[in-house]
Amino acid sequence: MSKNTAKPFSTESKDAEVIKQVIAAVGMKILDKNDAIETVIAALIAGGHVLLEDLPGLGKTTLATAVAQVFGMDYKRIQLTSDMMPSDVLGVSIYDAKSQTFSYHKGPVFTQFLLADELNRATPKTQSALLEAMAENQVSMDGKTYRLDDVFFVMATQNPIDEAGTYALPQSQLDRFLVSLSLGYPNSDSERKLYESSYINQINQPIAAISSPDQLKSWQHQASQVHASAEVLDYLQSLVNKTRTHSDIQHGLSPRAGLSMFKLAQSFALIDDRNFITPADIQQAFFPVCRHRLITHEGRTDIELIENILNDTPII
Amino acid sequence: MLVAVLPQLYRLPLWFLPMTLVVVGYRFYAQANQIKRAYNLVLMMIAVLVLLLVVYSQGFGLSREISVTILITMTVLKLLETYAMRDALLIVMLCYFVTMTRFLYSQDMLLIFYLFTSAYITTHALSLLNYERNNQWFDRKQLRSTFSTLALAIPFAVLFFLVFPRLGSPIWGSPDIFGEGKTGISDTMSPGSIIELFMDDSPAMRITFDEGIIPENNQLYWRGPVLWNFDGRTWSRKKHRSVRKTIKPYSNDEAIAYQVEMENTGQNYMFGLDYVIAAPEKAFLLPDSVLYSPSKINQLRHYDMKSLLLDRFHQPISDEDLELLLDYPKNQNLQTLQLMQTWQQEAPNQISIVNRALRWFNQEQFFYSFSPPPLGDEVIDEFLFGTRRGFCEHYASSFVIMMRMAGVPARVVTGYQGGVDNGEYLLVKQSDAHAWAEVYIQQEQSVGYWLRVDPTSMVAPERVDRGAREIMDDKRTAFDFEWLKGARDSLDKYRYQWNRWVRDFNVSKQEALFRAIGIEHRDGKSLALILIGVLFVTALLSLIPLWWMKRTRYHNLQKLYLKFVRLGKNQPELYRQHTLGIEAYADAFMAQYPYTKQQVKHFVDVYLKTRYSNNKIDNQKGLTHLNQVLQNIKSKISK
Repeated sequence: MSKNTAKPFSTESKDAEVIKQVIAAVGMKILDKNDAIETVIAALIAGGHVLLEDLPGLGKTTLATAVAQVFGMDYKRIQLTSDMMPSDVLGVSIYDAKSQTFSYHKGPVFTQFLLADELNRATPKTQSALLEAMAENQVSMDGKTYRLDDVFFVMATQNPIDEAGTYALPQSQLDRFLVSLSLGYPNSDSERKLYESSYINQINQPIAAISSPDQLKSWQHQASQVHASAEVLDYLQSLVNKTRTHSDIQHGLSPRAGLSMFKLAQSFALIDDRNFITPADIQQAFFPVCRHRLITHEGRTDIELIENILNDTPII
Repeated sequence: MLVAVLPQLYRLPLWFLPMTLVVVGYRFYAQANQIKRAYNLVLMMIAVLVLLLVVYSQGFGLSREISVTILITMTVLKLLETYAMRDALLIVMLCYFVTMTRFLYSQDMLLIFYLFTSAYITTHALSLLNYERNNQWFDRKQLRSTFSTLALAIPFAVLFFLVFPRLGSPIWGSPDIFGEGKTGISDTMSPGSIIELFMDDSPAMRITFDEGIIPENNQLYWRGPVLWNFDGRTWSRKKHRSVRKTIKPYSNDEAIAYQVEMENTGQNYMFGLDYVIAAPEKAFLLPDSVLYSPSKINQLRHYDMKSLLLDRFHQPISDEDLELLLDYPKNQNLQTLQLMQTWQQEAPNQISIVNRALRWFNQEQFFYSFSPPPLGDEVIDEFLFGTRRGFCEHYASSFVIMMRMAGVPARVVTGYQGGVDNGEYLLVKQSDAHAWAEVYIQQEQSVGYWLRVDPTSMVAPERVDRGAREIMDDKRTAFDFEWLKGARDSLDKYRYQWNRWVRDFNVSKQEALFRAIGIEHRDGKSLALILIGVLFVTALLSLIPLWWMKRTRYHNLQKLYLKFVRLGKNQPELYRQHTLGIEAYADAFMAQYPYTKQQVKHFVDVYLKTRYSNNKIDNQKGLTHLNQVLQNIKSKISK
């Protein structure tokens, strides 16, 4: 028996090892943000998109590039402005005089990893064009449908203080993002380290690809196989339900949000080298899923509210 | 609802069934064709019409019958205006009342099962109305939940039964309120009146003898009404002017003591073995040794008795009575009269005339039969010289008239004869009904004794030796099988217990119960206190099942976790974390006790795997191991 239980998670999986390396590699670039990095990787494994809400200069772009590099993914970046048109994102059909036909020129959305910077500065028309592509994984143009890559990951950023000239994303669009997170300031030690010349050299070098889009796909498959016991599902459901009955919250989580939470928890379990979900996975997935979805009477959700709900939903 | 009404159907007026069918049929039709509710005026008119019908068929007055009939018919009529949920609920509630009205008629044991079924169906209807969403009538889960709801009600029913204040006499006045009991022997007798009783196997009395020894069957004459007057067809009682409590026995023989449990009859007569020497409580003796209760026997009655098992009884007699005992309708039954006058001339001795008559019955071609041919106007002549087929009633009646014609004072005694030994007690049924004769043998002028004479025994001695059922010459009904009789007798044993524990729980027994719990006096104040107490206790008790259902039940792994949590109980900060699950708690725990890190990590790993993984380690093994690890952690902390 002791043999059986001495190393309880004896999956001996190399995948978990690789994932840890991936997180560590990205962590070399973004100091002291391992939780955020883990959440981004988990979202990637869950096949969802990430919304980053941060002030400028806190490492959003660095994070995005690092993640794209570490997976060796095809990476594109669009800087959204108020004069951008949907065709600037999706691509455009142009009349080719030689062949006398319209030919489709793919836009930046045809990539594996798309960084959509300052999403809320684009007009609602452009925003919804991008978000539709995210939701359906395809672009329809002139009656034709163009499939996006199997691995298609969007990391969008929003600037929270720049209110002038922005178009806030409607709630329905926000729901398309699996998670939302904020990096925030690094702690003083990490920040101090940032200024060291050795570190500046390191940060400027691109990361070598440790993993590949194919491996990511296999992880995605593995994560979808992660087992959830009835008790864990009960817990998930009661948490979701709590958001609907909580007096401070206007609208609770949708079933889709609950499903997102479940997928994310599966990914966390995989990252932790487990083939089953524990309550901690659910708890870990709870905040990033709720952060952009729950609207309180005072405004956005904060971590205190989430902790409140978690404390009010005991799991014994 | 139908089920609730069904047991009362036979009591309701004839037009009730068609009315119900029409109403129910109309309601279904209206539902199918989306017909709107009729106008209030129309409904009102129907209601008034039906009310008048009820009054017409059952008379006017505040009786039980009419109240129940109105309740039932109005419940049925309510269907006509049942379109909203509120009305449907009302009907279901009314059904409970209809079900309960059955108790106004009888409190028999078997009825309980029926009423439980009825209550079950009604409750099920109620729960369907409240929860039903999917149009399924017989959802198994729902049926089960109805059952458990009813089961929860049983303890309360018992509690209320025991402690709910009872009233000595039924407040709802009308004396027949509890009297469904079989009428049994009545105080008149005309040809064929007893035959109905022979067909009736229901219990009349249950008797337990003090010594436990049941006397011989031919000594078991349960004396009932004594009939003096004969109008040529019907026998009836004599009106007595005086009553007494005891009779001084004229014999030194030892009296036999026994207890009688008598089913309600709605009459005043009580029964005792010949000859009764003392009247029980709340009853007295008529001059003709008949037990009489001033109040009608409307509920199960228990009484202690003492009797002398004799066939004769000394008693002086008045001239007035003698005259009555020698009276017979003149100008009737002349053939008999002629025969008797010859007998009297041949031997004027009273005893010899009696014996001659008995011999005559024995030697002539008389037959004992439950299906005697009908008799005309000259009842006695036709029987004695014509049909010669009959049962006790015919023989007793003819014999008494014969004696009177021959100058021997005589009267008819009705009652029961025999009984079935049913283990603990002797069971006397309605079918044991009997009639016999008593002749007065004069010794001196007004002194003599009563002698019991049973002419039936001359014709069919086994009737008296073995009981009425033994000699039934043909099956009384198509369903009259031996095994059925046996089943009925053993069923009566349960009924006996039922009577003892349930039906007979009366005011005095309740008082005894109250005394046992320390309440001495039963005045208005203490009654109110008891009532409030009972309601309060009930309210508390009803919380118990709620609490029981709501309480969190922990499985073994949860218990184990709570054990782990208890290790940090004296650290409030740490303890607070435990509701977040084992991982959060373990993190906090390791921060508090860093030296346990290794064990706690291992514990959590195994725990998570045991509880949440799908390729589970054997639960029991995991639990034992986890317990060991936990023990290690505990000892580490305490160091």
